[in-house]
Amino acid sequence: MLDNGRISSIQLSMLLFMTEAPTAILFPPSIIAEQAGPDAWISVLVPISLYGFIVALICIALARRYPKQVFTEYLPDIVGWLPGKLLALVYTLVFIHIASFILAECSLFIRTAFLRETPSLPVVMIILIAVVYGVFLGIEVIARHNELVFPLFILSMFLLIVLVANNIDLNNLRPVLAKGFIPVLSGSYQTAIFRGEIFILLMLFPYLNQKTEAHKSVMTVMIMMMIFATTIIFVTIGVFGPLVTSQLTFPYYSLARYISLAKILEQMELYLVIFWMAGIIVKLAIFLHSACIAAASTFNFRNYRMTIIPIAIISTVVCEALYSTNYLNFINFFKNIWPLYGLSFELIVPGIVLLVAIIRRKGLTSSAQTKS
Amino acid sequence: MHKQNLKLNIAILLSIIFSFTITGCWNRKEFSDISICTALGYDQVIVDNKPKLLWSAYCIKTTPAEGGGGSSSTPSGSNKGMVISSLGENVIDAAFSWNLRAPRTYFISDAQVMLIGEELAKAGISEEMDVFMRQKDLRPRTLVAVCQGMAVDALQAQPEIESLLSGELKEKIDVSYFRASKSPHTDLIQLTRDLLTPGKEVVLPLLKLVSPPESPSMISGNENQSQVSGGQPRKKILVLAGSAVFIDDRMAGTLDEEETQGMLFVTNKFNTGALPLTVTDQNKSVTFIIRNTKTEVKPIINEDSVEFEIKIKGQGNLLEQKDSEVDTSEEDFAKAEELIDQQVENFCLQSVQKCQELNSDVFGFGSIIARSQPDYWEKIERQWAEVFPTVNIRVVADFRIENAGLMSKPIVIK
Repeated sequence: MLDNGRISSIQLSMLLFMTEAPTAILFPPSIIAEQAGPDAWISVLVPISLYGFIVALICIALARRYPKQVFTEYLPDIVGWLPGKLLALVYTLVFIHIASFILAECSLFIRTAFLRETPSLPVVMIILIAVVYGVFLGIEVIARHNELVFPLFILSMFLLIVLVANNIDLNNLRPVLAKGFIPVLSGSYQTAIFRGEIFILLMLFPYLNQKTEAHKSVMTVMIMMMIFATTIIFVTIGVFGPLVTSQLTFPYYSLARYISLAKILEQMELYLVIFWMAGIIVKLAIFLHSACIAAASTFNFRNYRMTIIPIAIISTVVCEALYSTNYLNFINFFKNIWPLYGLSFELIVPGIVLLVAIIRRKGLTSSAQTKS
Repeated sequence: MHKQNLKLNIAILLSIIFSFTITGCWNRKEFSDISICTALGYDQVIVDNKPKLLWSAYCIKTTPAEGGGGSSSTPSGSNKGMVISSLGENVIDAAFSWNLRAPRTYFISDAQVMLIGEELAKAGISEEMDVFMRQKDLRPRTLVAVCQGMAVDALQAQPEIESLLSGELKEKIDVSYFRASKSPHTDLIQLTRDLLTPGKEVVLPLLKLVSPPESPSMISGNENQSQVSGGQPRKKILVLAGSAVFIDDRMAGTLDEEETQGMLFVTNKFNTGALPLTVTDQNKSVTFIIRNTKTEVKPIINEDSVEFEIKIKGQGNLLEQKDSEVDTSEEDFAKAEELIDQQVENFCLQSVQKCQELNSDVFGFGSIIARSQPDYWEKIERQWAEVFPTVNIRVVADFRIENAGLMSKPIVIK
């Protein structure tokens, strides 16, 4: 294996939570509220979480067949050498693409909300310095770092929910299901893909200490994400109303700006954004690490660390050229390309690979899995 | 030895890298480069037959406090801020032209109140609202108010108790909403939501510039006596006077204090307030303090008309009476409760009538229909402007008197 780190099941669930949470709470509420109106929280509760569950189940089933290898390592084994290597290369590029998308999102947020005159490159580079160092040190270090970041992130989300809770007006959440389920579903298909990012489990599974606990930790993550995302969007729509929410670019940030408790606790948005940034750095570290491991295993390198700098540079270039400075392109990618793009490599490709593995009887069968 | 070398090299490398951060980033804001503006004013002025925007910012004065010790010649409400205004095509143009006069960048993240001049309110505020929500600086909790006349004049009013006009304005609006319930309380998010919601109109508190009724010798100290008697005009103060009612984004009219109280009753926003009643026709009045109110509005859709049933429940205390009209006995309390109910119902009916005349649905009746019966609302949404003035309302108020203050029996003059 390329990375000799080991993570426990609790660390895995924290890591998986951190791959989904920062993006899923930052701007999706406004997109869901645009389509679903006051029923946006139902949209998060039912269809989006369901999609995440399905992706998680498929990925666990696939990963348990090859408990000691990452996804790109056993792809050639399942589908044959040439298609496998090609698919592994595609996945490497996909991971790099997602990493640059996350970078662009972070840079856009920081530059819109705080540092308006700063050009994009310094922001991206500062983030990348921390991330590249983490990837260099390995997955175990990232997991341990996340043990620090995760409670702070949860605490900041919890504080946000509690501090604006008394501004909720339940009338903003009515009428419930006035136009049936169609708006709920149409509001969910764009942002469900963020919940499907749990497919990164395919690249993290080999490091898990006790493979039989994977089910438990993944289900914990999905339930936690369901609860937190639903609560955040419930609170956002309760405080602002669906019309205002759909106008805001970053509803999480605007909600944080609205906190005012007894005129003492005001302008708390800074703390919430700091913890959010810590979370997004962990997410970026996970995706960049997966990209490096995927590149190293596709090209049969011994040491994945030699791919870190090139991949980081490619990410920066893609982010700068395509998304970070070109807001319209970012929105266009996100609205038009991302849904099907994400669906195919999160759900469809692992699903097909799993099917092929079952048919061709590749990897460990279920009786052998329970022994490992 | 090798390890020490390595550590030294790393230390040198890190110092070189981090020294790039000492230079300061693009968004550094030095404290002496910014001018903190705590209240903002927006006016429309006509220059050469074209409407332009006059943006005024109430900035905190930066000169250090003068004197100390004996010569406290400044009156107790001395003004620590000054107004600087600039003219431009629209908000952003005026804001950036502000620096043609002011040497510092404006810093509006601490703005507590925004005043909209009457002319601009009548012309429409939707363009300004777009700027308010889009830029990152203004806080969503900034209070918005309309002032009679020009906002630039209103911002030059004299603060009486606080040292800054902005703090005084914000507290004024807060306290009069929570204690007297005679004016509404709208922040930027609520304003945006009311503008976007189809069945509800915007209502903002209304400020008026008046001369203080007290004589000047009470306010200022001895040193200013000669100045004042020398004919210098006295500064005016800002007073809350009801509310301004909008249709879409243009101001349609005003509600006076009683009508505003009625409006707050109907929209379930009445906190505490005093309610004077006349018990008999002979100039005898009894005053109650209303504590909690809870209003429920239900739409009743008939075939060709819409009715609303408004139920108000609340508690109150007896706090003042003249000539022992109300004794602490059951019949008197019951009589008084009936009178309170009637008075509250009158207020509500008055305010609904006034708003129907102005054709402005500040109560959100349209959005109540949209919430409870969305199918019907889809049919009449386009014609709500015609349907609203024909809406009937039935008000049923039910108040309970809790106690009667510290006196169990009234003073009977013998």
